[in-house]
Amino acid sequence: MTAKDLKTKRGLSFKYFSHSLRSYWWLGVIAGIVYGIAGPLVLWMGLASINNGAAEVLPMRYIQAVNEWFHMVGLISYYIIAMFLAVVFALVIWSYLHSKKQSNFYHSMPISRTALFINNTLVGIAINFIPLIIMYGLMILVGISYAGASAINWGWIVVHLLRMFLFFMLSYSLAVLAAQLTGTVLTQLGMSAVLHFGLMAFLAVGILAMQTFLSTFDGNAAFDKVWYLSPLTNFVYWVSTEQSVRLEGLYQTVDGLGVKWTLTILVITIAAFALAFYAYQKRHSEKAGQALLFDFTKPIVEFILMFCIATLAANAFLEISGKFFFLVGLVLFAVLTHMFCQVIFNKDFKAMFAAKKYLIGFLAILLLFFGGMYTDILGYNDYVPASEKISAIKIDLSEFDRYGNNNYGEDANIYTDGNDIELLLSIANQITDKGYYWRNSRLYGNELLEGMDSERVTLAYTYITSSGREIHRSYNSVPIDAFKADFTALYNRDSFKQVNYAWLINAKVRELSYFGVDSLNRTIYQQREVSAKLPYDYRWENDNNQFQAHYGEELLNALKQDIMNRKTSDLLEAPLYSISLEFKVSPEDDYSYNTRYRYYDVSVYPSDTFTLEVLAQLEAEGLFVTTDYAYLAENIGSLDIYQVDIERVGSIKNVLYGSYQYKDDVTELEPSLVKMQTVTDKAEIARVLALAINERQAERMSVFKDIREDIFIGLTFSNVVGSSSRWDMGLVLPSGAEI
Amino acid sequence: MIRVENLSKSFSKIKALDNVTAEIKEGSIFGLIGSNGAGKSTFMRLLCGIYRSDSGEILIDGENVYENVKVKEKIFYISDDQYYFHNGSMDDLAKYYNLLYPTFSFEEYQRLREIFKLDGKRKLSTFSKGMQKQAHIILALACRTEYLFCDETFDGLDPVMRQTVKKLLAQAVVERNLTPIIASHNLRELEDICDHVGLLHEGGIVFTQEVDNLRLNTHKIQCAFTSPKSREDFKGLDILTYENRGSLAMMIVRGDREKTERIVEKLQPLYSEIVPLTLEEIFITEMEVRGYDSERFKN
Repeated sequence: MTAKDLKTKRGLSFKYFSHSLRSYWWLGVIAGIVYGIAGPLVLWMGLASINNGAAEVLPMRYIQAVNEWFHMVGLISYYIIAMFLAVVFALVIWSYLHSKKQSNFYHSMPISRTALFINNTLVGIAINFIPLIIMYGLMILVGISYAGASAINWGWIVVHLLRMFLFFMLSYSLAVLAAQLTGTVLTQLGMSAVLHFGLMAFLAVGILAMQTFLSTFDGNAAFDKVWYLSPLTNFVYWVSTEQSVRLEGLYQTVDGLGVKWTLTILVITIAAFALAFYAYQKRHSEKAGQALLFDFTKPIVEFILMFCIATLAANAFLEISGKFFFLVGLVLFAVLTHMFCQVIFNKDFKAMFAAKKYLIGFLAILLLFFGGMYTDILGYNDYVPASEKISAIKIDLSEFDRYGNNNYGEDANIYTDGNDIELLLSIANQITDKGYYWRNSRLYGNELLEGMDSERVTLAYTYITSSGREIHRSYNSVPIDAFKADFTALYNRDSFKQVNYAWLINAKVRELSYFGVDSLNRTIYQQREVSAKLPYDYRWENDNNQFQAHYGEELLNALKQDIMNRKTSDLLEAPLYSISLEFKVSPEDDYSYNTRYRYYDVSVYPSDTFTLEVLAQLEAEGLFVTTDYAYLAENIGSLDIYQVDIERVGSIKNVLYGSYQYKDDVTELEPSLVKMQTVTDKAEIARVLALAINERQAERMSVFKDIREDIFIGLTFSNVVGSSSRWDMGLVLPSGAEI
Repeated sequence: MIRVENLSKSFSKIKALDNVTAEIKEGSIFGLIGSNGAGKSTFMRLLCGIYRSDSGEILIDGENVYENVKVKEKIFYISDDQYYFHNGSMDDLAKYYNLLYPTFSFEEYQRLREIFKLDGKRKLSTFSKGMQKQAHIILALACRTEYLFCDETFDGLDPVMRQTVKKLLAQAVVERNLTPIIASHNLRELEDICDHVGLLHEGGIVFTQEVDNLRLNTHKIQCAFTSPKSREDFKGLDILTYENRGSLAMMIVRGDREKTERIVEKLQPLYSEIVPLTLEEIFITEMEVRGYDSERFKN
C-alpha cells in the first residue's frame, strides 16, 4: 500500500486522530499524574530537602543533585513507567478486539483496517508522550529553578527522551502484537508477558536444564546472551551498565556497542509492529472474545509455558527427592500446564483434557530432550575438538595462583601458542576420558569424585575454531593432583605467562596510580597495610606513607621479572605478601571509577626475590614493618590446637568460611566434633609457629598446595600491648606438616 | 445493486452459509427471513464487510465490499445489539459518524431526533432498550447511506415507533433511493414494508422473490369431494403441503391462481376455496417442506 493510498483511506485524517485522542483523554490524565509524581514532584521534594550545610555550598549541592537526577537516577522511573504504560495502553486501546459487538461496530465502519491500526497505534504513542513531555519539561523547570540552567545537560535531556521513546516503542510494539494475537484481556496480558519474556525464559530454563544434565555445559557463557532477549531485562542490563559506565554510556549511542544495540531494538520494534499489522489484517472479526485468534500460536504458547513450568518444577523435585521424582515432576507439571492452557484457550474448564495429541507430542519431546541429555546421547560432555580444528583456547587460569590473574576484557586469557593449546587440550582430553568433572549428584551420584582427596579447580574452556566459532565447556571440580604434571608443564611456559599475566607484563608504569602492600604472614589483628599514593592521580585516602614514584616503578618491574621466573615448585610455599595495584587507564573526562581505574592483586611468594628486595628497601625507609613481634614465641602464652572430625565437618575450611552449619569459629563447634590440646611450652610453640601459616595466607595458597583439613591453631598472647588475650586470627598447617 | 455469488462462510466446523447466491436491487426494501441459526446475521455481516467470506463474492454496485472504504461509505449496519461508546451520547455518536460518512447530515439528525423526541446529550446507557433502537435508527438514517442493513431492528420498538420507522424508511426509499435490508423473525412487520424477501435456511438461500409475487403465487386450497382424494390426484399442481381428512383435502400450492383453480375444478369438488397466504404462512410452509416444522419438536 502506497502513501497515496493511505491518504485516501478514511480515518487517517487528523480529525479522526484527534477524535480518538480526545476519547482517551482520561488515559493521558492518568499518565500525567504518574509522570508528574515520579518526575517533577519527587525532584522538587528531593531538592527542597537539601537544606543542611553552609549557604555557600548549597548551590553546588543543588547542581550536583540536578546533574545526577538528569543523568540517570531520576529518570529510571520514567523508563519503567513508559514501558508499563505501553502494555496498559495497548490493552485499553485495543480492548474492542475482545468484544464481538465492538469489533463488528468498528469493522462495519467505512475505515480501513490499515487506517484503524495506524490511528490506534499513534493514539497510544501520543497518549504516553504528550503527558511525558509536559512533565519532563516541568521537571527541567524544577531543576533550573534550584540549580540554574547551566546545571542542565541538554545533550542528556535529548538522549534520554529518545531512549525513553525507544524503550516505550519496543514494549508497545510487543503489547500491540499481543493484542492482535488474542481476544481476551487475560490472554492479551499473558501474550504480552510471553512476548516480553518468553524467549528469554525459554532459553534460560533450557540453560538451567542443560546445566543440570550436561555436566560440562557452560551456563555462564550462555546466560550472558540470554539477557538480551527480553526488553525488560535488556533495560535492566542497560541501566546497570549506564550506572557503571556513566558518561561513557552516552557516547555509546553514537559509536560502538550502542549503535548495534539501538539498531537491534529498532529492528525488533519494527518487526513487532509489522507482524501486528499483518495479524490485524488477517484476524477475523468473528473470533473476537476467543482466547487466541490464530490457532498456530496455541501450541507455541503452550510448549513455551510447558517447557518452563515443567522443567522448573522437575528441577525442584530433583533437588528435594532425586531423579525419579524429576520424572514425576516433569510429567505432572507438563500435564497440568496442558490442562491450564486448554482451559484458557477454550474458556471452558471441561476442556482441560482437550487436544491430547499435543500433550502426547509435547511429553514425547520433553522426555526425548531430557532422556537424551541424561544419557548424553550426543556425547556432549566428552567432546573435545581436535587440535587442527581450533586456533585458540580461552581459559581463565587464575585458580593456579589465586589472585594472580585479573585480566580484563573480551580478548583476555586467549592462548594461541601451539604448545599451550596442545597442553590445554591434553588436560581437557584427560578430564573427559577419566570423567574427572563434577556431575549433578542427584542425577549421577558423586562416585567419580570420591577418593580424590585433592584441591579442585573449575576449568571453563572456550575452544575457538579457525572460523571463529566458540565452543564452551566447563569442567567443574577437576582434581589438581590428577593433572599436576600437565598443569606444571603449562605453568612453567613463558607463552602461558605472557597470557595469564598479560595485565602485569603489559602494565605501564605511567598508568600506575597506587600500590599497597599487605604483609600476609606478619599480622594478626588487622591488615597492616602500607599504601602508596603516586603522583599520577588524586586519591582521597589518607596521605600518610607517601612514596616516591620510583618505588612504584621498581615494584612493577620486579613483579614482572619474578612472575616470568616463577615455577610451580615456588607455589608450594605460602605467599608472604599481597600487593594491590591500581592503574588509571581511561581519559580524564571519565568520572567512573569502574572504567577509569583497574585494580589488580598479586601474591608474593618467597621465591620472588626481586620483589622482596624492593619491599626490603621500603622497610629500610621505616615505612614498612616486616616483622610483627606478636608472632614471636615469647609473646605467645599458649597455643590451642584444635583437631576437627573431618568425616563430619568435611574440612576446617568449612568452619573458617562459615559453610559448615553457619559456624565461622572453631569454638562454636559441638564438643563431639573437635578435640583441643593446649601447648604452653615455649620451644614447642616456636616449633609449631615455624610450621604454621595464618588464615589469610591459607586463603591465598596456590592450587598446587593445600592445607591440612583437620587442624586449626588458636593463639593466646601473654604480653602483647593493646591486644586482648584471645586471638583474632588463627593458624593452619600446610598439607603434609606434622606437629 | 447487491450481488452475492456462491458465498460460503464457516465458523470452525460449522457451515454458516453454503454457496449462497442472491441479488438485491436498489431502491427496494429487502426482507431477510429464516429460521433460527439460518445464517441471517452472518449474511448481513458479510454484506457489510465485517466478516470475510471463505469463498464467493459480494459485490455492491459492482465492487467488493470487504475492506473497501468507498463501498462501506454507502452502507450502514445496525446490528441486533448495536454498540455505543461507553458513557457516550447520541451526539457523540453523531460526531463520530460525521467523521466517517461523507453523506452524514446534522440537519437530518436534528430533524429525526425531534421526531423521536430524544435528548442528544443524554447518555445512551440511560436510554431504555427501545429508545436505544430509535437512537441507532436516527443515526443510521442521518448517515444518508445508499444501503441500510437492519438486523432485528424492529424488536423492542413499540407499535407507534415501528410505524414511524417504517414510514421513514419508505420515505427514504422514495426520496433518495435507499435500499434497506431488514432481517427479522417478525414476518408481519416485513410483510407491511418489504417488497422483496429472501428466505435463508440452514446456510442456504431458499428463494428471493417479490413479496407480491410470492403471495400471489402461493395459495391455500380447501376442497371437498364425494370420495377421498390423494395427493396424486392433483396432477399439475406444485403442492407444498397436503392434508386429507376424509373427503376434505387441504393443501398449499405454488403457482398461478387461475391455473390452480382450473386443475381443482376439473376434479369436480363439492366445494373449493382458494385463499392467499400471509408471509408467515408461506414461511412456515416453506420450512415444513424442508422438515423444519413444529412437529419435529414434539416428543
